[in-house]
Amino acid sequence: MISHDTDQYTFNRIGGASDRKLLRRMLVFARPHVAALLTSVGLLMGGLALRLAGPWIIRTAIDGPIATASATRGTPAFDLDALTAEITRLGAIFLGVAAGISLLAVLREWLMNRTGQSIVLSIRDAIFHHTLRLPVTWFDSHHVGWTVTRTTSDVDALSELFTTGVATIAYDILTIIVVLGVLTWLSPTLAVAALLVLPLMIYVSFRFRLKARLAYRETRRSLSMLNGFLQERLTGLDVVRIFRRQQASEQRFAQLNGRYWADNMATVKHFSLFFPMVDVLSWSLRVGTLILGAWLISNERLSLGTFVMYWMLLDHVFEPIRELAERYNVLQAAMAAGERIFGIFDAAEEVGPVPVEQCVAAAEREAAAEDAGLAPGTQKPSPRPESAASQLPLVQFEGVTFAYAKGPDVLKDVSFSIMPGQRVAVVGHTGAGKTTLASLLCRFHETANGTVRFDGRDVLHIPHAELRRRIAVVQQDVFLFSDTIAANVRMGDPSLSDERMAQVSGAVNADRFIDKLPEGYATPLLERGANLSSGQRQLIAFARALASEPELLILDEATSSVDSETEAWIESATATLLEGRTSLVIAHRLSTVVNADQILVMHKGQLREVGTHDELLAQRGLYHRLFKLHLAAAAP
Amino acid sequence: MARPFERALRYFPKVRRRWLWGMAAVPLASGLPLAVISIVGHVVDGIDPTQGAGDAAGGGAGLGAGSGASMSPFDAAGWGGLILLLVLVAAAAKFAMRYCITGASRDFERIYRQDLFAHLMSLSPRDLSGVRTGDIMSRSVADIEAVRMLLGPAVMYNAQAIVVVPTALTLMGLLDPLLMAVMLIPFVGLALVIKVAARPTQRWSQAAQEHLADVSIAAQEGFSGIRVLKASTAEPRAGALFRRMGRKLYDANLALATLRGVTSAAITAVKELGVLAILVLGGWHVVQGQLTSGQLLQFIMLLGFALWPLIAIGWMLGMWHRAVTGYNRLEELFSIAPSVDRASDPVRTEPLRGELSVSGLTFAWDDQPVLHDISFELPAGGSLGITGRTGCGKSTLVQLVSRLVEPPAGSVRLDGHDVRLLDPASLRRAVSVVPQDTFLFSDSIRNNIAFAGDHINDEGVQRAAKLARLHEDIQGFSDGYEQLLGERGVTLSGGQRQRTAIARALAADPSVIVLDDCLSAVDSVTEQEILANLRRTLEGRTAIIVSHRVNALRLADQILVLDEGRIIERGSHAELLAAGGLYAEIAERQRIEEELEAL
Repeated sequence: MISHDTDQYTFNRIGGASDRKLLRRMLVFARPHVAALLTSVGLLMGGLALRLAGPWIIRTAIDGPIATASATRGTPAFDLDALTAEITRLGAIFLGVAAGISLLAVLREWLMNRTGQSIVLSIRDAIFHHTLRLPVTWFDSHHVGWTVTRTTSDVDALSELFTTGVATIAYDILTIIVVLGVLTWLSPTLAVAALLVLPLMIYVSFRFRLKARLAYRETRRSLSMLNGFLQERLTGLDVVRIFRRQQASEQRFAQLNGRYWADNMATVKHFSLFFPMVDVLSWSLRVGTLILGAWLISNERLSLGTFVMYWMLLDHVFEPIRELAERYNVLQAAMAAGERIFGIFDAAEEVGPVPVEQCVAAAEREAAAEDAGLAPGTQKPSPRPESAASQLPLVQFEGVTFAYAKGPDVLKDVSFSIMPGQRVAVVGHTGAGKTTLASLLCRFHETANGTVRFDGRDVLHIPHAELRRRIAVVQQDVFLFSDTIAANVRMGDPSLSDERMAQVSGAVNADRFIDKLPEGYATPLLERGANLSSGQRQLIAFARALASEPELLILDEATSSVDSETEAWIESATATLLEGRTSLVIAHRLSTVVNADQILVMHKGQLREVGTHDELLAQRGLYHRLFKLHLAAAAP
Repeated sequence: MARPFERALRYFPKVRRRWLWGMAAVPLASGLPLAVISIVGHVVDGIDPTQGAGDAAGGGAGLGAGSGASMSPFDAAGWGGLILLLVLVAAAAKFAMRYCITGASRDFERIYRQDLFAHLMSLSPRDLSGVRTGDIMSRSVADIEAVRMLLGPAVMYNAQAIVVVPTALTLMGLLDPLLMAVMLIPFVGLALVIKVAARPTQRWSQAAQEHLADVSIAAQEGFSGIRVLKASTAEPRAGALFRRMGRKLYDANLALATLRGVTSAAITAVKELGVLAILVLGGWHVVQGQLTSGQLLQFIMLLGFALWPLIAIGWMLGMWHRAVTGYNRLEELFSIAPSVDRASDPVRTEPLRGELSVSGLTFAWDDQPVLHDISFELPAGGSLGITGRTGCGKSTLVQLVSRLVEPPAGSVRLDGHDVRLLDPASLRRAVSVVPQDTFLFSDSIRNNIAFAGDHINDEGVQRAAKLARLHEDIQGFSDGYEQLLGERGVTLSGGQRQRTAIARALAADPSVIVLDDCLSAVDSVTEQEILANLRRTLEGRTAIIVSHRVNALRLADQILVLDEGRIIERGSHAELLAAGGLYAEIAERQRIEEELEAL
C-alpha cells in the first residue's frame, strides 16, 4: 500500500537517457531564472580571474622590484624609493583584487541562493498545488508522511541542483582546466609533472567518495535498524516487562549499537585515511615541482617569481579536485529526489492531468492575487437555481455497486432518491456501507457500475468545484486546520462577514464556547484542533457547513461520547442545521432517525429496508432489531 | 544536572586511552607541516638566482638567508626527500590523530547510548508518558551525537589550533617581528568575523528550521484534511497558506545563505589582507634586504596553514551550544525515576502456585480515581471473568494485579505474598499477561512466540501455537515459523495478531494467565475454539479473562462486573443472567448483534 522511499542511488547513473529527460523537466523551473543563473556563472568566472590575479601580482613583485633590489643592492643603481613605490603600486592593485574577490563572492552567493531558493519555492508550490488536485483515492494509497517528505526534504535535495549543483560543478571543472592551462603557460615542463599526479588524485578522490558513500549507506542502514529496534521496544515496553526481557533487550541493543559503531568506525577510517593520502599526493607533486623548479631556475629557464606563482596556483587545482567528487554525490541525490517528485507530478489530477508549467503559473497567479490583497475565490457562488421542478429528485442513486480498489463490494446495487427538502437518514451496523454513499455523492470516489445523479445530472459530469460548492459535508471525524477558529468557519467562503459568521455560529450553539475563549474567533487552533473537545469541533464543523448555505447537506453524525451539556447543544444544533434543508444524514442519534422523512436501512452493502420510523418498526425486520440494539446500548 | 556534562565525564575514563593516543599525535600532525613550510622557504631561497650571486651583505634574519650560496638541483632533491619523509610522518600522525580521537568519541557514543537504553528499560510506559517515542529516538541519536561531536571533532580542531597558531606566529616572529605583529591583524580579524557571525547564523538557522517545520505541518495538514479541503473547495486557500509558509522559509533560508556567503567572503577578505600585508611590508623588507623571497613565500604559506584551525574553532562554538542543549535533553530522560520499585529484600519463592487475593484495592491515576475498594479471592487454578463498559477500570485492574503498575501496599497478594515484596523475576515467570493492544515485534513468528526466553524450544513454540489456533495459519506462510512479521514480512490480521500474543503467553508456561480483552478481533467461532483449548491448558492454572463478550466469560468460575471502578455485580454466568442487571443487558445486546450478523 505504501510506496517506500527508494533512497538507493545507483552509482554512475547520471548521463542516461531518462536522466536527460529528467533534467529537461527540472530546467523548466529554472527557465524564468536564466538571466540570474548566467549572471552567477559570470560572477564565478570573474572571481576565478581575480583569484588568479593574486599570485600573478606576487610574481611581478618577485621578478620585478625584488629581483632588481637583489641585483642592485650595494650599487649606486639601488633606488629604495622607486622600489618602494613599485611595491606600493602592486599592493594597491592587490587591494583592488582582494576587494573584488570578496565583493564578487558576496554577490554571487546572494544571487545563486536567491535563484536557488526561488526555484525551490516554485517547485514546492507547484507540487503542493498539484497534490491537492489529486483524487482522494490517491491519498488512500499514499502515506501522508511520504507525500510530505516529497514536498519538504526532496524539494530541498533537488534545490541543491540549482544552488551548489550544476553551476558549481561547471565552475570546478572550469577552474581545473583554466588553472592547468595557466600552469602550462607558465612552465610546460612543470605542468607535465602536475599532469602525471593529478589523475591519481582525481582517482583517489572519487574512489574515496564512493567508499565513503557506501560506508555511509551502511551506517544509515544500521542506524535505522537500531532505531527500529528502539522504537519497538519502547512501544512494546509493557510486553518486554511482562516477559521480563529487559536484559535480553539490552543485549540485543548492544549488538545493534555495536554494529552501528563498527559501521561508523569504517567511515572514520575512510576519512582518516583520505586526508593524509591527499596530503602525501599533493606534497609529492610539490616536491617534484620544487626539484624540477630548482633545475629549471638554475638553467635560467624559469624565473623565481614564476615559480612562486606556479607554486601558489597548485592550491587552486587541489581544492576543486577534492570537492568535485562530493558535488557529484549531491547531484545524484538531487536527481533521485527529482525522480520521486516528478512521480507525483505524473499522477493524474481529478480532472485530467495539468502540465507542470500550468501549476506553476496558477500558483504564481494566486500569489499575485494574494499580494494584491485579493483572496482567491472571492466571487460569490452563483445564486443557485431555485429548483422549479420540485418534483424532480435532487439526489438519485441508480443500481450503484462499488468496491474500493480490489476489495469486496461495499455497495451492492443500491437505488434510492432524495426529493428536495427531504430529510433522509441512513442507518445500519458498522461496515454496512453508509459512509461510502456520501463519498460517491461528493465524487471522492467514482463508481463504475450504476449512476449517481445530483439535480438531474450524472455527478461524473459536474465539475468538482460546482458539486462541492452545492453540497456541504460534515464528517464524523471533524478535521480542523491549525489556523484561527474564524478561518476554519470561513473555509468554504473566505468572504463571509463577521456578522454572518457570528450568526451561523450562534445558530449552531458554537458561540457558547467561542465567546468564552479570551481571543474569541481569533483563537488559534492546534494541529487538528487538539485544543478543543470533540463536541466543540463538531459545532465548528456545523457552523462551517451552515455558512456555505448548501443545497444538500451530508451529515455523518459522530459516535464519540461527549458530556451531556454539549450533547444537548449538538442535538439542537443538528435540528437547526437540518431545518428546511435537503439532507442525507448518516444517523447515530435516535432523535435524528425518528424525525427523518425517510429512513434507509443498509446492511452488508445492500439497501434492505426503506420507510419511516413507524413503518419500519411495524415491519419488525432489521430496523426493529437495530432499534432494540440502540436502546440496549443507551440503557443506563 | 549538578555539573555540566557530569554523566558524560563518567564515561570518559573508558575511552581515555584511545583518546590520549590521538591527542599525542596532534603535535606531530600539525607541527610537522610547519617545519615543511620552513624547508620550502629555505629551498626557494637556495634556488633564488639573485640570492646566490655573491651577495655577502644581504644576510638577514632567519633560516634561509644564512645559506648564501645557490643550491644545486641535487641539494634541492635532498631537501625534497626530507620534505617527503616529514610529510609521510605527518600523514601517519594525522591518520592516528583523526582515527583515535574520532574513534574514541564513537566509543563514547556507544557507551552513552547503551546506558540510555538500559535506563529506558527500567521504566514503565507510564513513566515515559510525557515523552513521545519519536522524541526519545531523536535524543538517542541526535543529542548523543551532539555531545560526541564535542569530545571528538571539536576537541581535535581545538588542539590543532592550540599547536598551530602559536607555533606559526613564533616562526613568523623569528623571520620578521614587525611583519608578524601585522599578521596578528588577520588572525584577530578572523576571530572577530567568526564571533560576530556566530549568533545571527545560529538565529537564522533556527528560524529556518522552524519555518521548515511549519511548511511540513502545513503540507501534512493539507494532505490529511484533503477531504475537508475538497468538500469546501478550499484548495486555493490552502495553497495560499502554504505559499505564505514557503515564503517565510524562503526569507529565512536566503538570509541564512547570504549570511554564510558574507561570512565566507569576509574570511577570504581577511586572508587576502594578510597576503597584502606580506606583499607590501614583506616586499619592502625584501627590497631592503631584511627578508628573502623564500621567506615571503613561507609567510604566505604559514598564513594559509594557520588560519583554518581558527575557522574550525568557529564551528566549534556552534557545537558547544548544541552539545549543552543535547546533554540537558538527555539528562531529562535519565532523571525519570522508575515508578515500579524493586523490593529491598525480595521474596524468592518458586514455583508460585497462583493463588491471587485482592483486598480493598483503591487506585487513582493522578488524582483521577479509577478503582474503588476492589476485593476478590481467586484460588490457584481458578478462573475469574471481568467485564464492564469501556473506561470502567478493567485494564487498570489487570495492570495492578500483574504489577505492571505499582499497586498500593498489601492490596494484591500472590500465594500470600504482597506482590510488591516479590522478586520481580519470580513474579514475571509466574504471571503472563496478554495485553489488550497486541504488540508484536518485527521478528520471526517463532521468536515472537518464544519471546519469554531462550529456554523455549521449537516444540514448546508449536504446542503454544496449536493451543492458540495459530499453527495452521503459520503453516500457510511461505517461511512457516521463520516467517518475518511486520514491514519486512507478512502483515497479520487482527485475529492472528491476538492469537500470536496468546501463544506467546502460553509458551511462557505461567501459573497465572491474564487475558485482557484479547479476543476482540477474533471471530466468534475461533474464539470458542480458543477458549475450549484454553480450558484444557488452563487446567491447573489460574486465569483472569477480561472481555466485553459474554461468550468468553460464561465458563469462568466467578465473574465481576465493573462500573465506574466499582464491582456492581458478582457471580457465575447463570447467577448474573438471573439477576437481570448490567450483565444480563450486555448478554441480550450481544444476542441481537449475533442475530443481525446472521441476517
